[in-house]
Amino acid sequence: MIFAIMAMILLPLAMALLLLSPALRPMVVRGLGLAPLPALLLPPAAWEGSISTVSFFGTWRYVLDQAGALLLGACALLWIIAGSAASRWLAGRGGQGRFALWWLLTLSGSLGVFVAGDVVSFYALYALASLPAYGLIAFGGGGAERRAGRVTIAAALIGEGLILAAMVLLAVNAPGQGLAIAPLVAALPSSPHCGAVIALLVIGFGLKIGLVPLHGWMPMSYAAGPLIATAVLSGATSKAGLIGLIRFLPLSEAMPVAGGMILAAGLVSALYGALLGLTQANPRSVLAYSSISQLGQMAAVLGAGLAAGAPGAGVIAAYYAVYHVLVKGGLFLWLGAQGRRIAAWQLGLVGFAALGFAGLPLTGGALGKLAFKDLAGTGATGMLFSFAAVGSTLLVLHFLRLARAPAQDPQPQPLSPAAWIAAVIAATLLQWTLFAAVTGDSARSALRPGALFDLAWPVAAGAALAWGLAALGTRLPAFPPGDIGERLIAIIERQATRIASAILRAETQAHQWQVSTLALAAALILFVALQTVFGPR
Amino acid sequence: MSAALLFWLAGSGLIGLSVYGLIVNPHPLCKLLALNLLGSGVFLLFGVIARRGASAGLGGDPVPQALVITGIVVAFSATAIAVALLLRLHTEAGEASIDEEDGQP
Amino acid sequence: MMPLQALAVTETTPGGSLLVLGIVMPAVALVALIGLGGRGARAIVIAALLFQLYVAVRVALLVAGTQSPLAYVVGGFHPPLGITLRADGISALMMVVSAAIFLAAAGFAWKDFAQPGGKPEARAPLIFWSAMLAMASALNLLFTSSDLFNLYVGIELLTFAAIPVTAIKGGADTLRAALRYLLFAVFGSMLYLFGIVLLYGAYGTLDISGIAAQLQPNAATLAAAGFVTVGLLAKTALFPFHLWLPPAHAGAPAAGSAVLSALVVKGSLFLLMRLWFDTFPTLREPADMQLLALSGALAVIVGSVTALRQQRLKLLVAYSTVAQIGYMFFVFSLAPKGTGEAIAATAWTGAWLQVVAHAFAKAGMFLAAGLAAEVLGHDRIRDLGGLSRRAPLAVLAFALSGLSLMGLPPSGGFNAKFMLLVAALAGGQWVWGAVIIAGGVLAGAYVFGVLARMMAEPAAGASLQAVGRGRQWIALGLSAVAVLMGLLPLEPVAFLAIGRAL
Repeated sequence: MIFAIMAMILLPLAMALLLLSPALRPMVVRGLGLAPLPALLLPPAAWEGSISTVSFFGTWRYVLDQAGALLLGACALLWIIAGSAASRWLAGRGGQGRFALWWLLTLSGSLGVFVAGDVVSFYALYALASLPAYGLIAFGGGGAERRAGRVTIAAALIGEGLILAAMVLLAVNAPGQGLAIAPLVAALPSSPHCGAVIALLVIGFGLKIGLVPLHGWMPMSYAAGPLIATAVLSGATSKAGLIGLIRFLPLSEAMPVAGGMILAAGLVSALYGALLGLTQANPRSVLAYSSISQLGQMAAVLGAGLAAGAPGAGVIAAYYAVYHVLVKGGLFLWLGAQGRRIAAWQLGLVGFAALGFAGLPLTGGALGKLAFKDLAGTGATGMLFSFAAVGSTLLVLHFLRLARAPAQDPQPQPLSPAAWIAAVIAATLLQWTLFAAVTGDSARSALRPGALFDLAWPVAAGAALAWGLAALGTRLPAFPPGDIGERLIAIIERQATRIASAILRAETQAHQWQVSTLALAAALILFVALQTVFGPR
Repeated sequence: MSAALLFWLAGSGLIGLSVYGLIVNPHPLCKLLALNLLGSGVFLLFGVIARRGASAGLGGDPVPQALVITGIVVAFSATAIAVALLLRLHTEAGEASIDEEDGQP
Repeated sequence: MMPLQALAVTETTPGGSLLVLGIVMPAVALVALIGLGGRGARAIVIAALLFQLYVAVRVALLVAGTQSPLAYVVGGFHPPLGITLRADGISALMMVVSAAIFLAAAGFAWKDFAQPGGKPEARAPLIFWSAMLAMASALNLLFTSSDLFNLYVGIELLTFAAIPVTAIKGGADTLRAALRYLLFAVFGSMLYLFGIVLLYGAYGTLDISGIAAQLQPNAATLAAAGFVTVGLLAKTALFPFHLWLPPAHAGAPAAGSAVLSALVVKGSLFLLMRLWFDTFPTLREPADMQLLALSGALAVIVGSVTALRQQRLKLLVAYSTVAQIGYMFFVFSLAPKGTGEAIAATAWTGAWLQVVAHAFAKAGMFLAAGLAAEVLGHDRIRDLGGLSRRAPLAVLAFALSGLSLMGLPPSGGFNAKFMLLVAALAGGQWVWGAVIIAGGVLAGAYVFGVLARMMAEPAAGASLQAVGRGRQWIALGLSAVAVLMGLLPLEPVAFLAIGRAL
């Protein structure tokens, strides 16, 4: 198995190195869809819920458990589908070598992060998944795209800094345990820093999954760059944050306070994302808000799991994410495949798949929602999840309406429709076949009237609400993509520039000879004085 | 006051004056002279240490005297390099100043 | 770790004469160079540096093999009359690192400083090659000497050899930068010398172990510690005494900048570590050491922010040096007197990993920046586009160096930062931990900014020269070493503790 893991991580990197040679470059670009293939060898190894670990060079460990396998399989499929589409899209396009480079780097990290079992590998692969995305977002070279790329990278770097702090605290807390994630996390609840670590983890990974109010970068980021890139970024790399939470939260320990807060934050994101998404005019931003909402629900599932001490919550969240990976990626691929007119059957299929986010019965998404019904419970939390489903319905219908309108500037080279259709079909098939393995109930339980009703009423309510609002001609206020999150980012950018200028001015002052030498003399006196006062006697 | 104390005060005074000159004087040649003065002050102090360490039969501890000689050579080399740079700078720029021109770091 | 008395060198150990070779041989080669000069300059230097590398590796192997330091009593005269040379774990490590980087820089500069045909001897190449040999000799002296005045001579020799390299390009700006460097450095040396005066007056010896054995926290010692430290801080360019570094390092030729940033600055840092950890270790009160760490923290923040705002590539890399040096000063406050052995060992390893990783990464980065300037004819960051096409290996070298500077695994920089963070957070000093992390984020920002520009389309009207593969491979090799250091296990390295007292 270790060879499969090494091949999965190293093959894209090796292909990226091959890009250096102009002769091999077109070949590498044509083979983008093949790069993730080694990843498909791995999920079957964890089919029955087994966990295998391999150690490597002492510090590095790789773990394949059920949650990781689910996410790995889904993301690998998405990368394969998108990679094939990207090869065709890049043919004959300028800058294909650059795009392929960023693509392969992000791919390697995005898949590797699901199997990383020690903090160093995790951190390395997480960074590899996040940072090269800049090149994908800013590929067009325009000012807006570069800004979106910069903001994405800034959010990624800050998140990584916080995660590093959390990891070091974990390592400090359990000296002698080595750096493997599972033992460190097991030792976390008894540590004095537990609250600080969990806070750092939630904020750090929350930046990646767009947990409100850390979501401002997402709408900007998904609205920029080629659609093929946004497909993989929204589908696959955002799940790096999810696997981070799954791995690093001590789910086997019941922590009602921390879990409750994460649950609340997740639900807030779920509802907020849905509501704000309705105010957007760009279908790409709408999909971004939909991601915020969906990822919020996944975080809420983990929060509920943490509060109850249910280690299975990770698998359930991962199962729910499988549908999101493929369908969200598929939706972006669909946007990229649109020509002049949209056939009705396309709209129907897309609508059917997308409403899976809301839990439309018979879709894969519905199965995901069924899976976490136990965790959600039937009380207030369950109601909130259902409200989130209502919101998702509204959002999906809004998206369909926007996307149906004649495109302002149709894609010069639309992607082939095979890509998004394949993604949608794969999503549905995966969810149906894996339901039994994940929840222990047979898939037929999804067809019971009770279950069908639970799933259907939010969708019906949402549809009715949408029809009612449209009939009344209500106009929702238009917010800029990112709303308060973006406002926060703009404020931070302004303040950061101001602070940087102040520091630069101080630096210019410090450069003057008089100041520097005077400082030297002053430091001398200060140092000797400190020695005398605090020094040893 | 003993001779050692007097020389010690003189050396310290030299050091203080030269540090002042080094900080305040804008012209690099003046700074160079201040540095030389600083060196002289330190060497003077070395001499005081040598005097204090005098034992029977010797006028002064020989080790600091050896150190002073080496120090003088080092200071001399520094001055030589600095003067060479100054002259070259004057040739290139027409003036000898080490302040940064545009004030930008 | 050995007891304090064991620091004393009582006799020459087998292999001790290698230490003398390491110092004297480059000096002999320098004389040969000045005598034979001209045509054979490059060959003499490369031969001497290869021998240097051999000596350094043999010293390291001997130290690792016997798990004890090498020693040599010069002329058979024991302290306080004579001086001794002593190579412990960190000395051996720094000898190998400096030999390797010198060799790489010399290989890189092979063509730049070739003797032009038709002339018996041109000034610039002669100066460059002589300075390289002198710096090599001075660095080895610094790493192995056990006598404070001998160390003073070593550091002065290092400075005087570095100045011509700074000024070699000859324009008014570089001359001004060199002059500022010289004046500031000599000021620092004089303060250091004054500290030595006080120490000799108090203890009657200048041998490190001799002083350590008799150390009393009296007024003279405390004052001497202050003078000596501040003097060396001026030479190490710790904030706010770093005014000379950016223009000096940016104005030197590429190979020269590499050596200056990677090694020359580390010479005075090495001396500081020697003084505080071996000569007066009992003076390391936690409260005083916080001042050093505070300067280090300010260096990290101000250096990184200033690097972000730079418009010229070489200045950005130089400011990055200012920032990275700050990290090395955290060890003073993370492992003051009386810290538990685990935390002290972790902090010590982290600091030295940072020194070595930064040396390789910065050398590779400066060489890559030099290649960029050669390809494009300028080093404006805004117009770096097209570099990835002409010099892809140089861009890769810059990226790998950046990886280490950012502190992303796998790289030596990550290992170093991780160990420092563990020491900081285990010791409860979370402020320094936060600064270390913030520094990594800022470094990521400026490295990424440059890389993004390098990968962009060429600016309109840009003419791109080709550069040879050989020099790109040298730069890439140095950066690759910095990244390969990441394969070391994340725990205190026993080699660094050989021959140390605390």
